[in-house]
Amino acid sequence: MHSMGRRRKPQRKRSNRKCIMHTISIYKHFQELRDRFLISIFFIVSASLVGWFIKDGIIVFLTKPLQQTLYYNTPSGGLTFLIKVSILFGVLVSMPIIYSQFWGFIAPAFPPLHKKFIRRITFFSTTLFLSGVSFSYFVLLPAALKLFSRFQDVSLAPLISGDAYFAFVSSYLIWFGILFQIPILFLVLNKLGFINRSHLARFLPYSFLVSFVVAAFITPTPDPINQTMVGLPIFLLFLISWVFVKEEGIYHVISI
Amino acid sequence: MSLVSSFEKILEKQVTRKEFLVMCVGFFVTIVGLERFLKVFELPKRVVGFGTGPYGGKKK
Repeated sequence: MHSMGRRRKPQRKRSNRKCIMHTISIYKHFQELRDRFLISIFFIVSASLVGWFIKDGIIVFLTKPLQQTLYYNTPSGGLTFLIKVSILFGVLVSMPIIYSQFWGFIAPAFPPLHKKFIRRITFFSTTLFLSGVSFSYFVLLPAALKLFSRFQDVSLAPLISGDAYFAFVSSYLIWFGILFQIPILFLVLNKLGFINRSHLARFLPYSFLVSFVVAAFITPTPDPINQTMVGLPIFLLFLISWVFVKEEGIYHVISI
Repeated sequence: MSLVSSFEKILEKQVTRKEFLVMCVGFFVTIVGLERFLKVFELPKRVVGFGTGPYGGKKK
């Protein structure tokens, strides 16, 4: 009788799928790039217009961590500030469209990035971007502002301009939105066969150091508390990437 | 061959999306690199000796 011994785990085959890449004229590539760019701009402008109508609410939301009135010191400063706030709102709201257009243009260069994968990537990119923005707004920004406010004294009071505050807040929000894309970057590189789990495992000890070096560059303050608050999430993102990245083979791409 | 027709010939060249992206990245890196190079070494100011802003400025 056939013995029911230990069953071998099916070994993962190295993928040897062949992908075909089509050639079209440079003019057509430029046309597609222009169309995708215009679609993104259209959505940013539309969302910015919506932002203009709810600008008061956005300003209250942005200045909530500061709890101070902002000032402007040029005749047109107020208008410039309101336009910048509306555009920031427009860009943040249009992020799903921008991501879908970006990945839609990149995807034909890498045939393994099929439509379903692009849809998933767009969804996760947007979710991670919004998570990064929320994390910086609700956790890092209040902590950083609290730390800075310690330096005010009876003889030293802050007079913060709208432009300076906007530059501070928007750089924080956008940098974190971008940094939270680390898992997506690793997933795409993994899908394309450039890296696998063992590569990341080898890089993991160094990633701790890299996270803290990057955090030192991003944080405007020289204190280690803020640096740790930024460095730890970056390292956690590396760990999350390591969990999701698989051992996959390399695709063979043929140009026709 | 005129400049316009040679430009049109380049635009009609058949390339894959990957080649197109490599071309775009190469162009971008070259332009940014050149800009940095000129800015760091202040070449327009040293070689030509005119212009304003970070790239030049007339010698007094």
